[in-house]
Amino acid sequence: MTVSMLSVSGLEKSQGWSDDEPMLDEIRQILKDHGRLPIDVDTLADDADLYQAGMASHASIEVMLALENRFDVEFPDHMLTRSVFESISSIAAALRELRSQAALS
Amino acid sequence: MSVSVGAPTGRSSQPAGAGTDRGGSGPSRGEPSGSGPGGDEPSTASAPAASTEPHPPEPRPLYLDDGSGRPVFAVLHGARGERSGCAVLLCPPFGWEDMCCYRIRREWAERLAGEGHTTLRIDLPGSGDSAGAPGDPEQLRAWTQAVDAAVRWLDALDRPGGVAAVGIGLGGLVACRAALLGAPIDRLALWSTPARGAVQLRELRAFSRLERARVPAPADADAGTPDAGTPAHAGDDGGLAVNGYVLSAETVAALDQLDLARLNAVRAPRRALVLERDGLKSDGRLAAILEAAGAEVTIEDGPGWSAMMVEPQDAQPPTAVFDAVSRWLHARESRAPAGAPSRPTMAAPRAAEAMTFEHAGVRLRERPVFIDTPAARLFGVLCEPLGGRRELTGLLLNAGPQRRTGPNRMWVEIARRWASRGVSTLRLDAAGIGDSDGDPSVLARVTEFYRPTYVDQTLAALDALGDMGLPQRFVVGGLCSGAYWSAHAALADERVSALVMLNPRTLVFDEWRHARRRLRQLRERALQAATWRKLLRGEIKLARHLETGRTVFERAAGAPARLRARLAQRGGGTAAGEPLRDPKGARHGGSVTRRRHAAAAPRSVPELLDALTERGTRALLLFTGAEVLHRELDAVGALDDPGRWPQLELVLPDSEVETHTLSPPWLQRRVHALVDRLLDGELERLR
Repeated sequence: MTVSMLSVSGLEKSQGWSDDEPMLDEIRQILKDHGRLPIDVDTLADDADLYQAGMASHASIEVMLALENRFDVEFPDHMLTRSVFESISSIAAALRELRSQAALS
Repeated sequence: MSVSVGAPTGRSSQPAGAGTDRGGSGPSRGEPSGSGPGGDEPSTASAPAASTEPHPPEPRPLYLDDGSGRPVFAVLHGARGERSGCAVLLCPPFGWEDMCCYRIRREWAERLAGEGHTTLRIDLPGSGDSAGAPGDPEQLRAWTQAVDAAVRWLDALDRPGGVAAVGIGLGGLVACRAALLGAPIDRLALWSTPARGAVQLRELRAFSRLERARVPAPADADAGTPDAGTPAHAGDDGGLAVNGYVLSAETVAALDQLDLARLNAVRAPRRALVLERDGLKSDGRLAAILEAAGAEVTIEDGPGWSAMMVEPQDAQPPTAVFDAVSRWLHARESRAPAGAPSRPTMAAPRAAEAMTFEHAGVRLRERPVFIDTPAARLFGVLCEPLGGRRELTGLLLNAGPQRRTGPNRMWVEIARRWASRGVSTLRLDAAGIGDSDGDPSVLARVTEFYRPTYVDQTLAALDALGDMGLPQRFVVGGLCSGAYWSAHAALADERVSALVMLNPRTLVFDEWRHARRRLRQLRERALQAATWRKLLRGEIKLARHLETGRTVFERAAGAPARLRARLAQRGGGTAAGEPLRDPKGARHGGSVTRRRHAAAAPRSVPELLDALTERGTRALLLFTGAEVLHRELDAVGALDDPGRWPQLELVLPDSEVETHTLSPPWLQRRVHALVDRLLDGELERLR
């Protein structure tokens, strides 16, 4: 498994990762920019199913790359699953997991 | 209507020393022209007689062969106006992305040609219309050789401007590998290209996993044809199926090992342009590798990737990237070149108008065909047996807006397999799709696919095949709108004796029916509060819904006229007042060609199937997963009595998962088996 993180503690300070709200907003923005959803992302609840909302598999790859680019992380192979990208909450949970793993390493 | 085949004479675009094949030589040289069971020569022998064009149209399709045994399909766009420097080679991305942006690459090539750049588009070996299959050995090497051959051919054609290669995604990785290993690429533009194959594979793997999780393979997924070339469980053998497109285990391993930094670079482009992807950072190693090799590297934004990688009818051309590449191609170098670019010492590959290859132990020939119709000049690729031919001809139509290679390249596989059984098969682009002329933008409206012009184009293709001397008994098929066109061509032309209808969204279309379907969807959405919030914010495209409303209104206004027309039909005439012809009389007597019917259009799917049954047309109607037409038919019990249509094989879904374009490999294998069974039955009827 590969996890690459850059200065997580620094990210936490500069981006407020200790508070979920900015992260959720960032995820929403990335979904708006890259998710190609046919509906307005702002109308979706955090736990709404993004695939049900119309996100295609190919678009979720774009979302994955944009998340990696924005948060400077790399999703390991075992996280490249439908369940990780199926909602804003699940994406945030995956990012939190990556953060905690990086903090331990 | 006129038909032209290949590129007969008089072209100035042939590179010196690279003779164009004119007599079945080169890639198609030395082929025996044996007689089939029917005693006929292969149609290629008589094809020139069908041609009414002294020169092939532009853009010009051709096949490049460097002797590797894997001819490469290419399309040449000759420079127009004043030549402005280099020629350009466009290298495609992989699989689904290749399909999405095919038409856009055509548009890009036209633009570059208009700016004075001779431009060539290629399909990599084992993809598109090129020879080979995804499972062929040493695919990465073959791809690299294909780029090298195309560049050398262009270089010989367009001296002294040199050649620029523009690579997209995986095509960029291959182009860069070719450049560093010695292909005479003077300038290299790479869009969304990583420095390592593993990075590219990671994206493809993720895409594959997400799709596989969406549509899991059933327990009996291994059933299917052995030669379909798609593993039932792609991934189990180390290979990948990426939304229907396959990378073999060996190719995956080769890409995994590919690191441009580790190549023993023998050459480098003088200039390189690295384009980012929709605001995502480019692979920094790529620029470093190219700079270390001696290239002057420019990095720019590359917006428009995501908007381009969607279903072809919705794909948007990345005009900002077009502009950036054009500017870069015309820009002066900031530092003087170290000297004249080294020129290749190897001979340029041959270019030919057709390619021959072996499939399932049978020699086949493929060649481009142009068909002029009132709607547009259509393009197709005809695959023919060089040996025994059966008295049946195949015609495969687009799957919606997807080009002639079909969903997941299935039409290529089917055409080659059918040709190896003696059935010449044309895979055709309708107007606005693939390489046919016509305005692609109209296809953004789904109703456009069901205009009568597409059925007319299908009928024109049947006539063209007949004019070329091919057997005038046809098996015609398609998916989605292609299934609709096939069915209505069969109703209109008795020469269609067998019919493949895969996942049609409708078989009896009118605007009213479509509008009612749209209204149902809107009604469901209207109950959602989010829809009203979006409407108030102006995020809903009202124009599309107003079109639905207009259709409903016009339908209501036209009701009296339709009633009169129906009454006229019951009186024995068509809506237009023409007498109906007896289908049986038309089939067994009269002219061999163009047995057209002025029959009344069926008003329901059962009526359509009744008409086909009466005609004796053998048919396959298949629905996989959640198909809207199947749901509608099922709801009213329209298919409850399949015994009513004894010549129809009706295959119904056992799942509600959306598999409209047949992307899972196990499903592809099943469909391959079903269409082959239909063909076998039809061939049996010929005995």
